Amino acid sequence: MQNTITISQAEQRAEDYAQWFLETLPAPARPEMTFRQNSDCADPTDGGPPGRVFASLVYQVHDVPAGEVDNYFQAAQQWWTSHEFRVTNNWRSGDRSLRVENTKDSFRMALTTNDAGLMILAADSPCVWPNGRPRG
Amino acid sequence: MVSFADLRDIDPYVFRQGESAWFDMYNTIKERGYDVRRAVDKLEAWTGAAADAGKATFREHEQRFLAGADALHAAYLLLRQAGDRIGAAHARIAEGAAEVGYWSLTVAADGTITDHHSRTRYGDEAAQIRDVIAKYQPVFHAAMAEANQADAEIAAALRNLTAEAVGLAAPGGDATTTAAATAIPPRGTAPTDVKKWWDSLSPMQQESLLFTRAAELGALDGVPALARDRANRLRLTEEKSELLADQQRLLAKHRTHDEELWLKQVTDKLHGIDDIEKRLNFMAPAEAFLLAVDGQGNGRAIIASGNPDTATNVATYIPGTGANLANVGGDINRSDLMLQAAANAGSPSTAVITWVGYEAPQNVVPEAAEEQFADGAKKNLDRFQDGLRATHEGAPSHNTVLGHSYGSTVIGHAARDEGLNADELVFVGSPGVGVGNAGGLNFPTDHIYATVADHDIIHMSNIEDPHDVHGPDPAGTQFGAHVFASAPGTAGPWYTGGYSGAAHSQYWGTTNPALENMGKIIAGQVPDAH
Repeated sequence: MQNTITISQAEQRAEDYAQWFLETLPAPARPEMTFRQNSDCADPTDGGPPGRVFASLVYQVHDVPAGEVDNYFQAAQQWWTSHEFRVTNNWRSGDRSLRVENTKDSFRMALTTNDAGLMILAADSPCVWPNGRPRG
Repeated sequence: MVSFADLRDIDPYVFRQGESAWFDMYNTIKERGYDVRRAVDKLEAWTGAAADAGKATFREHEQRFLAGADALHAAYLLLRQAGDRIGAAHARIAEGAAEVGYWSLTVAADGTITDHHSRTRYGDEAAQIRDVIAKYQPVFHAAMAEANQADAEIAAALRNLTAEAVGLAAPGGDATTTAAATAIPPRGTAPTDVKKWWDSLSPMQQESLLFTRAAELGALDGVPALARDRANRLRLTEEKSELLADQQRLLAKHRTHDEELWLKQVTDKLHGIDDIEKRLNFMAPAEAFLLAVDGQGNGRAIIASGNPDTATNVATYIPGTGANLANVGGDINRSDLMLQAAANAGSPSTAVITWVGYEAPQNVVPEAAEEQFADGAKKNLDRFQDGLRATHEGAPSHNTVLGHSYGSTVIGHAARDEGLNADELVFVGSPGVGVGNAGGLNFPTDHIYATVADHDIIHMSNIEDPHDVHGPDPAGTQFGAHVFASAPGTAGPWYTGGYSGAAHSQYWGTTNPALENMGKIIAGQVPDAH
């Protein structure tokens, strides 16, 4: 089993990826962090090594003008694909669900909207050992 | 009266366990007394005749709490004394008890040693036995005398610690004592009847029952979540004390293989209780309510993230194989993730309940292939869902029951055989739900949802075999459920056909469409199929 980054580093990197993207959003978009949690990586029955965790966070982005939503998705797709992320769903212009994964460290991001038009940005780290070293 | 066999076989740690429980109660009651004192102190600005009378009444309650705490502390000290004195007598006879056992001598209840085989003993052996008896007889008699004296003195002192003796007895007909003696509806009573019974009690009676009968009330479907939570928080403290005492007792001795396993189980359960305590003390993403806890067997726990009696949307999450008290922290995390997903979908208020209210299979082979765990759980789940309806305030909530892996099988059996009271059923990574198609679930098929990740190893259990005890995959095309999208998950190696255990656990990533879709269903919306 290999060493990983620690869970604190995973939290920080997820936050950094979210912030780098959120800073590209033009006014009047107003991001609000609504959720942050570290979760167990696996079921006891999944056969993988127990003890790993992953970091998650969610931002709700308020005040995005309805007419600008498509532009926000386009900009997100362009920004991510030029910053070492690859698109993992069959996103096409007009879709309201864009999912990407970092080609270097496997962090995942998702930009979606709900039925009311609220934009949501989510990030998950890959599974890591809490202190970076496999549990002995 | 203590017999020689009693003294020889007693485990002195039972007194330490008792001590610890009484000390916890002493602390709890003392703190309640101080709570009353602090509350009255804050009423400084309230003056006048009514204020004086009210404050005097509360001061009296404070004094009764503190007097009760003193009595509990006295019980703690007496048990400690019993442990010391009887433990010392036990230690005193240990060497002799082993020696007389070696020579097959008989020891009467009062400690008198007799050799029933004296006719067959000759020469040196007879002399050795005479020496053994001469050496240990006075030791045994002295130890028995001390043990019996300690037993009599401590029993008499404990008998004096009655409510009457320490001035805590309520007058006859007092509402609190009447309530404490009230018959509580047995588990299995229809939750609507439980709710009617609960509502018929006065606030004083309810308070008294919460304090005196917490274990029974905490497990009773139909008691409102706020009350149930208070009862179970008391129960949690007791469970933790008992487990800590077990842990200390096991750590202090040379352990057999079985005792090593037991120690690990106890330590793991304490870890689960720590996770519950952390969640109860944390208000995000919503206040948590403890709806059940029980350390017996693999351990059970039911924790609501959000108040199910007031939330617009209420989901019950049933985890599968491996679910138990020790692992409940990870399942609570998943409930919190679903709560956030429902909020993202626009749910105005949500409660997601982690329901480890059953004895789940603890391994894939052979237990997860058996139906007995689902059959053992179905009535409990059915009654729990009825209880959510009975205690909900205002308009009925929109209720979802969602199961992962074997948890989905539990839901299937409950729906098929009991008629589950819910609005939506959701199956995630399911090995089968006990029926051949959605029509067998005794539930509107338009409100049955399922998903399975492309790489989920659960596919390997969903073979097309008429003898497959759990039936087909509910996310299969022939089953008749609405199938919603999930990320494919981590691919496994070629020799597993690309399936992986990791993909069986990845549905709760915030970037996984499966979680987003679960949130939509909980919020009463239609999930995305792709």
